[in-house]
Amino acid sequence: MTADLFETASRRSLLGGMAALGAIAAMPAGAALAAAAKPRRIDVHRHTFSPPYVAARRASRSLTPQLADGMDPARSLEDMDQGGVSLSIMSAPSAPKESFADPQAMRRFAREQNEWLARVRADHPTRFGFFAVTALPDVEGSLREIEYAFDTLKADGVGLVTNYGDKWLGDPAFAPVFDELNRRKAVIYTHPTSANCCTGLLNASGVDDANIEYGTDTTRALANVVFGGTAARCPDIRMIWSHAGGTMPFLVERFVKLAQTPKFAAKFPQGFLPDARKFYYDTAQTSNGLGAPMAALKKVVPMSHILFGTDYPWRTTAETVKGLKDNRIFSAGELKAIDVDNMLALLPQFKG
Amino acid sequence: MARRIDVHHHLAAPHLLPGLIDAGILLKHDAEAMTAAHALDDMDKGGVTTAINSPPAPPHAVIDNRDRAISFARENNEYFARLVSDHKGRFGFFAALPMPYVDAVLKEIEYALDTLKADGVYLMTSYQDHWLGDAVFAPVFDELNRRKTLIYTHPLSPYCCTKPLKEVVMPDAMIEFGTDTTRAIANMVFGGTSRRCPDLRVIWSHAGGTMPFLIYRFLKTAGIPVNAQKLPQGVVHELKRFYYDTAQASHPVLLTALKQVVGLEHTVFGSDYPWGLSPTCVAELEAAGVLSADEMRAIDYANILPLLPRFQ
Repeated sequence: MTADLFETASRRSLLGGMAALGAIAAMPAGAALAAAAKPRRIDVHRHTFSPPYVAARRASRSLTPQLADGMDPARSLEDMDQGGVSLSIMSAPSAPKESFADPQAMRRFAREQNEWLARVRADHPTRFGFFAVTALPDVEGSLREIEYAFDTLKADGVGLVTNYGDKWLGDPAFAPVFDELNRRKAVIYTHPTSANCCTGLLNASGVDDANIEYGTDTTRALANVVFGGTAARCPDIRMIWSHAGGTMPFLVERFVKLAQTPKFAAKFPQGFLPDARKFYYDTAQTSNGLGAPMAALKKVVPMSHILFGTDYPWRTTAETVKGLKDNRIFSAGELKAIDVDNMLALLPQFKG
Repeated sequence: MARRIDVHHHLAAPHLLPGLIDAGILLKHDAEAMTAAHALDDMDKGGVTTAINSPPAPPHAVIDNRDRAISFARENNEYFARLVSDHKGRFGFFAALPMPYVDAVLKEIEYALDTLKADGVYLMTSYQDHWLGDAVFAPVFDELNRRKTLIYTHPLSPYCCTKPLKEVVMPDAMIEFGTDTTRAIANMVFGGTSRRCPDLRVIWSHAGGTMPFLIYRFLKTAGIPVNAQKLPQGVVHELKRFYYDTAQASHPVLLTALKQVVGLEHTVFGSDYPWGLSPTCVAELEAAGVLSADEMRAIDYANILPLLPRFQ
């Protein structure tokens, strides 16, 4: 543990200690506040749900008590302080699949979560930002929610899941939403969910969807956005893919070759990589793993497009920080870029 | 003498090729390359001394029909056995099996291994949404374990997820193949087969699908108490017992990940002929900048040779 890595936590206790000693006057108040505002580590992958929704999920046992407790922003702040995260961009990506076919339910879910996310940020304006939920797959409701979330709630971006039933991001049905997000030059944070094809396939062996299906679904969505033409049509969106891009970095050579086939070559004169390298990728649930995912990601995408993410409450900040360090894949300078610089370039409103 | 053994090499009985074209498994020019003469020519160019043949993935219509599954396996196996005797030392074969028909599979194992002297068996990663390691296949794995058989596995378009992206028509080899290999690995390990059958030797195609990239999740799944009890030596120990081929996997990203996750002691050369050409595979492996000369030699033949007594 170093003071630098845990600056937020140590600064808090330091300030408390100094105040107790009456020494606070020795520090210029302006400098202390500037230091306090300056982010040291930004978590782009952190979840919360509205309390009523958490209560319902707790009751239906689709969230364990531990995870349900972790959705409380106060718990989140404890975890952030323990791991040196000064700012988290919160998201509530996991819309209930059974509601996909019900536009009214999707609209209600989105609005309830967005009001909640906005309140969490308002309560802790230096600690939290948020990615707004849309009503997808309901396009009309999504366009209205995007307007409300950006213009009224001042969301920092939107959070989408990789598929909505049988349609992946990049599907023509979602074009109006992507066009609007492109017009707004929005940051789009994406989160995997298991698709209709592939839910519970290995339940009998105790292998849940997050183990394999999540990573694959991110790859499907990424491929669909690129090869389906959305990436080219919407050059101003900034997309973040969770979990180091699912499995894309591992399958990259296959995509490079696909872009060279006659079917795609004319549309991809520079090949697949320029599109892949325009996207952003977070470190959640891939921070370690014998170094394999981060080594692969670093080889495939620019260092400036790797963002720190934890997946709290499923994983802790401390575990993610340790994983990234233990990998020995990144230099100190590269870790700092992942921790804070890359994210500030994407969301300059948090530069403080 | 420099040797190179290709474990990922597809041919098929000539009279079955038109059916595979019709089913969309092969393009016409793939089928044209699938003759012994063309294959030997490619092997000579790539320094492959021996290729262990296996057929392309059987179409779903073959898997779904017991009689067709049986004849697809038998006819390919007879053909492969003939190639072994016609071209001494150049070909071996992994016997196709009429999965998922367990009683017929057990008969074909006996015939292929005892009479035709196959070097091992060929299994797809899943059949009708049952992945390798599924309880319905237990008698097959128990028999293969008893025989200490070498199992070469290959992905297919899984029933669950054939061409899921409707608007972007891309081959399932792009995403779905790699994933199905990963599912089969997870099912073999966490479903208990790999522990129950300690004498199985399994080769996974394409550097293990996407398993090396998803290893963090495997470690987490293995940490869940109910799974941890099943894997007293941990999940990496189980994964290191498997073998991994380099077919469509000579990119530095994949080789590096394999090295990090399971080491290269069980990495074996595969070309994916006719979809991969052996000189290209060799050149890419050498150009990757990941493998030492010793590691390259081990991958070329030394790692696999102990499992192929016919060629020792």
